[in-house]
Amino acid sequence: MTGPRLPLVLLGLGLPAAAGWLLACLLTPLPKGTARLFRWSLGTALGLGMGSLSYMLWRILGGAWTPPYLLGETALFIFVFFVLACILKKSVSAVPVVGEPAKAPGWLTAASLVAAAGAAGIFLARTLVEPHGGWDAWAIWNLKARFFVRGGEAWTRMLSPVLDWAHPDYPLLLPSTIARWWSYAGSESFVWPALAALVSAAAMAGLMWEALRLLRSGTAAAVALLCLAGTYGLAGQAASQYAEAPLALFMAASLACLVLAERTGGRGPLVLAGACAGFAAWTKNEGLLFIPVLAAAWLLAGRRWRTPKLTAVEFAWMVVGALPGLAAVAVLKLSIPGGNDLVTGLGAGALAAKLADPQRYWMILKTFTLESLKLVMPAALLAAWGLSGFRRSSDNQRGALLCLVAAAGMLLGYGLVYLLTPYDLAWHLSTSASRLLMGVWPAALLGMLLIFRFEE
Amino acid sequence: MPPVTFRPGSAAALFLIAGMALVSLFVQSWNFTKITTSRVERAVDPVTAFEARFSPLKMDNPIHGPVGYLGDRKPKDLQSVMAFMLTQYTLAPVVVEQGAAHEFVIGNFFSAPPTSDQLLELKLEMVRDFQNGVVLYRRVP
Repeated sequence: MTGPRLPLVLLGLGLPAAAGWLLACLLTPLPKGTARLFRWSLGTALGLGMGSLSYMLWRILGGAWTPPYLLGETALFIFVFFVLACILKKSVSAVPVVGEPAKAPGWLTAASLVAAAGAAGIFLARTLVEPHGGWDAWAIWNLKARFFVRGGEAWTRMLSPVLDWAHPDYPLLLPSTIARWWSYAGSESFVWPALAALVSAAAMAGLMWEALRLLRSGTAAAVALLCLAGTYGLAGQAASQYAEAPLALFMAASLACLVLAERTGGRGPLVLAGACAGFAAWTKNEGLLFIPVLAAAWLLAGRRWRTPKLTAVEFAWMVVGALPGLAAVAVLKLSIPGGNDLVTGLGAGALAAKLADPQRYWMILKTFTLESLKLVMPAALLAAWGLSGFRRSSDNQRGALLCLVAAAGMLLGYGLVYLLTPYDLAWHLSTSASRLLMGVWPAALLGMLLIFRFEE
Repeated sequence: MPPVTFRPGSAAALFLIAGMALVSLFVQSWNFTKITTSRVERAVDPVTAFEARFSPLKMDNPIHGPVGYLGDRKPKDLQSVMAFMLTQYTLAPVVVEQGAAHEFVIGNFFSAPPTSDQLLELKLEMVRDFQNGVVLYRRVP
């Protein structure tokens, strides 16, 4: 990257993140000066989504992709979001969530920071050994980013049925983000896909830390960081530049915002939760599954206290937030000639046979269990909770239920997809189950640590 | 604010989590080092090395539309699939399709390229051999 390009790159990357941060500040009902890490992490997630959408919008409209134009579209997009945020701010009042959160013991905080540094080291080493990422990174995500940058008006060739192995129907948040950054940088350096992965992983860790510190305690925050950093394979998975890292970020961010909404009320967090869910759908097809799962979990968690009218109003605010991401998904899905490889060509007879085959259920259950155990930290956390007497916090029952039901719903959905997969089940499970479970793990961790109680 | 306190069981639980996380990271680092030593010794990762083979073709590239692809390994072989996908990754935004049904066809060979008889059968003529297993063919009318 040449010298004069650096300010442009910083602006290109920073402006959407700054806009996301502003949105997070305006729409989270927390006192000024608090929850900085939460807002920055959430803002980063929103910035990724907003930057991707602005890029896609201009590419669909056939816009020339020159540096001055890049700045112009970014400024315009951010202006629109500022206006929306100002309107929404009128209905949000800043109230403290809890008192000053209890701090973690120094040794625990130190251990969590050491673990985070270790995970960062693994991420860096893996990136240096595989700068183009894992197989799916160069075969799917970075390949599509190259079509965006190199293809000019012919970028739509990436949607060709000839490239069915690159899954033309996959959502484009990650490729468009990488392409956008490459356009700003003026080169196709591996640094930018790696940075997208790093930013996603770091934002997720920051968001989990601060959400749990605010809603539970410093101890829960430190345990979350230990569990994320120590999860076997997670740092390497993030470094592989797959879409699982941003997907996990958006799912965790959406749930954290909903938990915040449950605790504080207000429409702002509902809009943010919807926006993150929409961006999850714009990241991977698994994110599309997250939309109904999130809605069902939210309805279930609040069923005892929420009136039908309140449910409708709150749901509407979530839909408002989700619309940009869902609109992008709709445009993509309507533009491609073929359907998804997992559902095309499935006959009713074949489906019924698969549903009635107990061996398939057993294979899926066994794989999910074994892969969960291989992650190490879910079992370690449950064992530790047992050691501390299975004590529960009374403050976050609804929030914990929401996260755990959402995580369980995602697992059920994945299980159903595996059950009906047209591919060889053993192959399909062996090539994807581990990373899908890693994507759900942060959401489950958030739910577990909202309710697990270790301190007096 | 009073200092946070723990029951003995809870303190042990936190030690367990911290210990397991740090051990897990250590094992990951150890395994990662073992796996990647050979790759590090090669200095260049496989994708970058693959792309370097195609540099002469890309610099002298007359093709813009879709191209065909011929390899010398069994189509279902994992290395063969990887070589084909990497060719697409390297040549994007040109769309690469398996087979010889296009005006231009990319040959990507790790052993011997097709014989002249085989080329005749495929109705292909060589445009340029880049001397590193990468060959550009044109379809004979």
